[in-house]
Amino acid sequence: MNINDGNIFESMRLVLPEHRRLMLDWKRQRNVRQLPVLSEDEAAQIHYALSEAIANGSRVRVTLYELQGDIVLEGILSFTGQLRIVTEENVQIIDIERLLSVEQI
Amino acid sequence: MTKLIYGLCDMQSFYASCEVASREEFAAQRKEFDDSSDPALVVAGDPARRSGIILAATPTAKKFGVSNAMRLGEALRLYPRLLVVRPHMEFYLQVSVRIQEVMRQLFPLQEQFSVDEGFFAFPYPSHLFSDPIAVARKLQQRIWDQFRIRSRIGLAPNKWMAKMSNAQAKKTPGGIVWWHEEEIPTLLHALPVEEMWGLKKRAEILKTEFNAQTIGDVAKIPIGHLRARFGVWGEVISRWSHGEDHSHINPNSYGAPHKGFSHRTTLPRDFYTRHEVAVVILELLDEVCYRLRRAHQSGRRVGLGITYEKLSGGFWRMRTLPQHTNTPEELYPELLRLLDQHWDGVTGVRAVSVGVDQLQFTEALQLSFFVDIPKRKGLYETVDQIHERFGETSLIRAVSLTKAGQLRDRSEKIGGHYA
Repeated sequence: MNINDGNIFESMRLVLPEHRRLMLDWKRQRNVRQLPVLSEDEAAQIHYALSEAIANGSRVRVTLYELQGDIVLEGILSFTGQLRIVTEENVQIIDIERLLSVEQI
Repeated sequence: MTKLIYGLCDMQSFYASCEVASREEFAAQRKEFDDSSDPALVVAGDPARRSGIILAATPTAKKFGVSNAMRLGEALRLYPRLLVVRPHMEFYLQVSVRIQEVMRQLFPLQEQFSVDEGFFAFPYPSHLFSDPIAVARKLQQRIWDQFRIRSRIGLAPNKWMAKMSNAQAKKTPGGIVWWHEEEIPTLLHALPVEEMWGLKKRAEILKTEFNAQTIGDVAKIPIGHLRARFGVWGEVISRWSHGEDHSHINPNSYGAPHKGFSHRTTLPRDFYTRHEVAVVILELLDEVCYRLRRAHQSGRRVGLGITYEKLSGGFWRMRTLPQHTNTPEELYPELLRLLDQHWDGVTGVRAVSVGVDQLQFTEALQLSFFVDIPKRKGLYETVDQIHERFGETSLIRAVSLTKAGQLRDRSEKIGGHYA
């Protein structure tokens, strides 16, 4: 690197490879998606939409948190000890902890 | 006009402070603004041996005359009740990344400089940072509150001056100094030339050949003379002597891909025979190749560094290959050739380093008529998996079991000290 333009300190430092790896791991962990914390209003709204959809058997669109990115499912909800959604392809169990939104379609 | 103020924050006796802060028996007595409230503790490379070297000492230990790089035996003669602890490198690195995170929370423009130093910058004047000293104090206080480690902060108009003002902050009660632009000629130019950070041996040359005693004297030397003597460094020296520096802060400084990989080890004794040195070369090469494979890269140039007995003299020679590679089978013979060409075979060898650079990403495999390359690739993938799952020493080359082998010893250490 040409010391005359740019960041001379980058070429003058000594970093242990173990240290560099730790810094990058730390940065990666920091950028990992976190499960958003819902406000009381949002939680109440989900609760209301859920009970209505289960009672009426109406079609809904639910958004679920995933590490790699949210997933959206459409179908009819049922509750028998576990919350399930019947989509066009299959039946899936929904983890309520990861539920971000429920909308009527 | 709004400009950036640059800061350099460094930790006081970092390794020793980590040790003191993590021992609860000292917690009640320690005070932030009284470093004599710390116990007289040293971190010694090898506490079992009096010939071990002091890596860090608390200010209290230093008051008894103990200093870094001193032999443990000498330190114990100065103060027999010294608390001696072995290094815990992994712990220090874990603390280090967390302290840097605290800096980043206050200052998004931040760049780690060493294990215990970080640069940062903030705009001034601005509403958010209306009082630079108070902002620096906030950082200092957060580090003390969360880690019980004392820090010193130098603020100045650029990075190099921040480094220089930090040196001043270490001698200032409270540990915070802000150098204003207009004060720089008076503050900087009075300092002795040895205190110009980053010059190393060049400071001595400025003294003997240019008769410069202070940084002010250096500023009077015409830039052409400096350029003639030091090359591009002449311009840097001239710029710094006027309190100028063009370095920016790079928050992604460590995310950039590597330009090369290298490993170095200092041997426990002098090696005199070719086969012993060769064992160490192969072990270092294996580590370099492992890191190349992890980065999905391969290199075209291989380098060998040998440092002779008493750690004086030696060589660093490189060889460019016809194609990129990251396999030890191809690189090892090149390293041996470098060794045979440049080592007289008589002088004792005390340190060895191996490096590979001129890297490229390896998406394609260069096949060969003579070697089953996919098979070899599969072999190394398996070896890497075993190492990652069961540790570096779970699968080693037979030569690493010979007396010359350093791998087992090295695997317990970080940067040459106990992990």
